[in-house]
Amino acid sequence: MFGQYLSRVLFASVLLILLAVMLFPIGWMVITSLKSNNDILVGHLWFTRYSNQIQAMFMHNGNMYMATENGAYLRSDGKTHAFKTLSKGQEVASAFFKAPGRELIQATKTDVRVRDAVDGQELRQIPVVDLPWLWRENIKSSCVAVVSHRAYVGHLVLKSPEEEHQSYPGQGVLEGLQIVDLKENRYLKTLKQDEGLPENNITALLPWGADLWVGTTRGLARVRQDQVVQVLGAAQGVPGMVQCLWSDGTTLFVGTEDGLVLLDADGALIGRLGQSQGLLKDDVLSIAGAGSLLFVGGPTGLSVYDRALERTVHVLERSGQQPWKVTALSVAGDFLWVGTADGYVRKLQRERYSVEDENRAPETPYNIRWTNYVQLWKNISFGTYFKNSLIICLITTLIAMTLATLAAYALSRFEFPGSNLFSTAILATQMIPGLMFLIPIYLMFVKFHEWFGIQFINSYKGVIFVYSGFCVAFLPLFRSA
Amino acid sequence: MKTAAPPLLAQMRRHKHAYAFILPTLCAMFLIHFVPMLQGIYMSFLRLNQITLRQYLGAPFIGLRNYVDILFNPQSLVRISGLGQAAKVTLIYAFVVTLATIALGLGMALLLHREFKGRTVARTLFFLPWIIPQFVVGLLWGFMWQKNEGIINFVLHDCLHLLSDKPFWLIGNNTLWAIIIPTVWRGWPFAMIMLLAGLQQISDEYYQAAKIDGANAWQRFWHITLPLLKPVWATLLLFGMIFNVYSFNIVYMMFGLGAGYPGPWGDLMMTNIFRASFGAYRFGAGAAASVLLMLFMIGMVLVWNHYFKKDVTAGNL
Repeated sequence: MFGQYLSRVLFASVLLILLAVMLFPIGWMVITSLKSNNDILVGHLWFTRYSNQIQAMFMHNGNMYMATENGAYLRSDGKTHAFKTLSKGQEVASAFFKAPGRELIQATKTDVRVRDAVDGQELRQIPVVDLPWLWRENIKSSCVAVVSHRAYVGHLVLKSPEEEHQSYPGQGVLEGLQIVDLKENRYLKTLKQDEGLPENNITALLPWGADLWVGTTRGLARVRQDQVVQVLGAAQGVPGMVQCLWSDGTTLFVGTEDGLVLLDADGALIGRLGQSQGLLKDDVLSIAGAGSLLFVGGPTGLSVYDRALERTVHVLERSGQQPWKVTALSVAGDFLWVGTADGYVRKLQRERYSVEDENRAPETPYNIRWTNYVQLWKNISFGTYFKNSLIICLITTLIAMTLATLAAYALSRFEFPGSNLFSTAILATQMIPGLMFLIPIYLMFVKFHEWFGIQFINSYKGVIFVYSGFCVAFLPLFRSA
Repeated sequence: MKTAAPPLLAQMRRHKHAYAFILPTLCAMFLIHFVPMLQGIYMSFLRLNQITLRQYLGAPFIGLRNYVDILFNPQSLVRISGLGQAAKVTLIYAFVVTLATIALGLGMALLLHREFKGRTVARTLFFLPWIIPQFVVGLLWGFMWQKNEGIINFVLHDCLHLLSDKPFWLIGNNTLWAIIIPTVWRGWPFAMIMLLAGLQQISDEYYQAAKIDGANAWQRFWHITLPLLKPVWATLLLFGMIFNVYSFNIVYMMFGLGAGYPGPWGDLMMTNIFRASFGAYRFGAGAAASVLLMLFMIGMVLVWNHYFKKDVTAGNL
């Protein structure tokens, strides 16, 4: 009696331990999903297959314009992962600027393009410089700004030491601040070092009223009506190379290799932010702001500085092998878009930085939070994906079950000439590596479109067709005698 | 007088409805399997890369060069690096996963075959891992194996003190285990369900007779359960081998954003071929490696056929 009882307890405990071990990963997954993640990363987009440095981002009406090292792209926000290539290749080192009205100005290595800001359509192209291919590679980045119907374009040209004193066609136009008249659609002139610019290599541009702030590799200049009216160098508190410019209307923020310099409207020094104020690094590569928050991108990550609290409230760092070199920042709505040198654009939730957030009660490990599930529907088009899966799964199951039942019935009920061959063929289909199918099936669908006009690519039909085919050839294996 | 067998045509005519029944399946197999497979095999004889992909089947025909380069020419530019190592890892992986899945499934099936309260609930709970998609399994275990933040090192090191320090699971020789364990974890419930169904078909009379003859539990298992379950576990063995040799999803997802490359320690044939084809754009060499893999698989199935075909009931396969 006692022995039976003992064996029962033993059996139950063995079963429970096994259950705990086996279901542990699932439980851990569920618990993790109910925790609030401390990371404010809400999603990232893998947006080019080359690891291109994201050089600039620009949001307009839910569209995101992106300039990278080898192309310019438009991402419309309504369709996740839908990218439209605006221009690509060697001629592009793009920069975008939103002009008044519906126009968007894009500067490339050789011309200025006026685009429709809504759909990215190219309206007109203004040639600026005829540059030999060999020299185009030397242009590392570009920037553009518009002040009263004039587009100002600057390039950062890096030459190798042996090229340093070599001249090339187009040099006179390229090096310096190019001025393009958008009304008359023509290139006007190039403002150069000998006309007062601190340096011919231009790294950042920022319009300020009727003026234009020009960041160069050796200080900052103010340009008014195509004349240099003020130059700020190391003596005025702007050390070395200007890497980015931003203003909130009253203060000018100058990102340099040696910290973030704050200037007032007259160019007088107000203050300086750097590692001693809690930023990750002194090197400031990009900057954006919203409210009292200042987002500062550096070579190893992002720092968030609160100007009201006068301290760094958050840092997001990844150093090591593949650091987050934050090269572009853009604030739009509730989100902060972060472009990094490895070609990713990450979407961060901006409100998580707010001051109220700081005062929130600390989280205990037992707190259940549904934020992840809410965000699934809010920030990712989870509904769409779910709908897709459901449609494809249901129709595939219906088709495959019907057809496979017929085949399985024929196989088990009758012995007809070729039935053995057929059942061997069914087994043989499982022996083909899936990767071998990919290209042939894709190209077959292309041919289908050419021959019969059936759209199998990029549609439910194609996926359902392929899945049904696989299932139909697979399911008869599970018949019983 | 011997009656002549009915002529083939007459037989076929008699079974025309059977042909009608298998016709849709045949069409699907022709379009989805047969034609792409022939194209794939032909691709393996072409110099098909980034540049010539546009011509597709019109790409330069180079005969067996892809095969020769893969198999015998380690210095060749079109070789697939680490294919030999990947083949070794894949073989170990497939064997260990298949055998462990069947063994674990059999053990659990025997455990759950007993009568006890809540048996249905227990079976349902144990079946849960199988319903998790392979992609999610890869992602989930990828997080769990993390060195510092991962829950596995936390449990083994911080809670149970089984390990003196936290090892790397996703780098080094441990990688093989890091991909085997999730696959087994995801796969065994299916084996369990199949074997449970098989167990239920074994008549109780065998066991009673064996008990009367004085056979102990182990002898009953070895001489009755195992042979009578042979159709089930032989089938599981076959499909386990096929699926595991062609395993891709779990490894690809676990080593996710780094293009699914787990290093030489956990690189499988499929991930290797995938990288060669779609990472390095050597489609011809990739197709050749796929064909070689397919030939190996066919050989394996023939071996299986030789040993197990007669045990698996005629109608089942």
